Amino acid sequence: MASTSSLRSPSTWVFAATLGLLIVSLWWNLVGAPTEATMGTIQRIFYYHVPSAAAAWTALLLNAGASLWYLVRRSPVADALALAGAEVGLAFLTIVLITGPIWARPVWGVWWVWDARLTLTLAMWVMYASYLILRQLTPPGSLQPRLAAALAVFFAADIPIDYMSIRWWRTQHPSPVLFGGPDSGLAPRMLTALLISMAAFLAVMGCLVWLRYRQEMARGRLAALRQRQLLLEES
Amino acid sequence: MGSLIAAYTVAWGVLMLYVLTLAARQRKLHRTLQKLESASATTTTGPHAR
Amino acid sequence: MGEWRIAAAVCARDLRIELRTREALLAMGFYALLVMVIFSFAFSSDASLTLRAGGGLLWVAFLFASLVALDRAFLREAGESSLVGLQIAPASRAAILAGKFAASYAIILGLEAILMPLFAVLFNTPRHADWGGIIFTALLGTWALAANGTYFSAMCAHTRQRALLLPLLLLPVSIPAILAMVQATQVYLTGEGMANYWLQLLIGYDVIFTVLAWALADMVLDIE
Repeated sequence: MASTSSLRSPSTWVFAATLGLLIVSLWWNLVGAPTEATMGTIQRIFYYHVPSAAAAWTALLLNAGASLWYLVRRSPVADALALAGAEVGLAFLTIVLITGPIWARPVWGVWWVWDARLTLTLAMWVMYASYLILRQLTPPGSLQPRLAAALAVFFAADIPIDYMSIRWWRTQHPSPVLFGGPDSGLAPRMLTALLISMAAFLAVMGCLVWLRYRQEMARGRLAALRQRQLLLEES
Repeated sequence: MGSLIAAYTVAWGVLMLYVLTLAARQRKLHRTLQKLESASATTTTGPHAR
Repeated sequence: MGEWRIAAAVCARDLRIELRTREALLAMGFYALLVMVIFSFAFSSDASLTLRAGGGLLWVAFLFASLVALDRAFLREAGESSLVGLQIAPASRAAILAGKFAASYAIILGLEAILMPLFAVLFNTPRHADWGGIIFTALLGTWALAANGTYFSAMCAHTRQRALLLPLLLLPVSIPAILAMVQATQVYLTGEGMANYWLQLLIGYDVIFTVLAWALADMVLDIE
């Protein structure tokens, strides 16, 4: 099983490197990047908020691709990857949805606005939470991954439609003035901090997905072994 | 600033929490493995053992 | 084609079951009525509210009714092996789903037919409201809810907490459709704005998700 790998194995190095990257990025986020003129210190939340969103979307894209692959091939690898992607993606979405309002309150004066991106992100959080709940509540067997994969494909089809419709909806009403997007013209040291943070978060996402994937494959094999054992005991 | 610390803590906190759930599930899998190993030992030493 | 006959048979059977044991239909109808009456207590039914949020009010009531009807869609099969005989050919699974969809669609439309006049009366809808447009929107919107709802109802049929899971699965996916239904209805109620984009969105949504449900039907209908 995965847990018994030696300390010198490649995975340990990757985890150590990821942790190192996180610490380096933390320095850049707090010290290396200059303080922003209008917002001050709180702008630094941006270096965690945006990379979390990137990690979330990547993980959920992985879930969509793996789910489609499962529907076509019924491969347990695909199913395990889909589950890992959804769980990790949801974790990062949670970070996005909490750090966002923490930043928004002092800057916009409100915790939340119903603009396209926020509404979509919230909707996605609920979708993938319900995906995990479905998996939890469906009895294990060959049906569960199929249902989950079908649901994931529904979500994947739905998300672009969501974005379009919510954007249209919001342009029909006067929207609150959102300042023009944090990455419209970033100072070079800010860009560096952002990119390092992005790399760090994507690395963390990769590690977590990998760990969860391995764990899920192990769980599947153990379940199969247990089945065989039960049959042996009955015979 | 307080909000910044809160935000960063939340991020690390959520990730830590997830790692903890992974670890908990890993322990459970390990216990299942041990149970299976001991169970298969008794089955092979039972009446139908070769 | 054989598939249409299967779909028709399933639909007819489901409707017959509902009509014979009338209690479920009565309960659903009364539930819908109750929702609308409670709404009129909860939200003061003055004209400005209707003009500002009438579309939303109506569709929340429709949503309640839909969820109740959809939850029952596969409940009728519970405890019976009635599905087993029908499922011999994999190609006919989509037909079974279609039949179930048709039955649910009809039932929900029936419930909406009760709710709409009630809404008009209790909420003093403006005289110039375009009811043709509202009904057309209801036909399209209900299609979206019933199509996805039937699919997810089948999905949940195997799970625990079925009744709690169905809205959890259905509502987020339906967000663009719900947005469109509500906005279009609002346009027809007040006479302000353009409903065309929303109707196009609804039609597109209906097409995409009907095709998707049809294509993935055998993921969801199975006997373990």
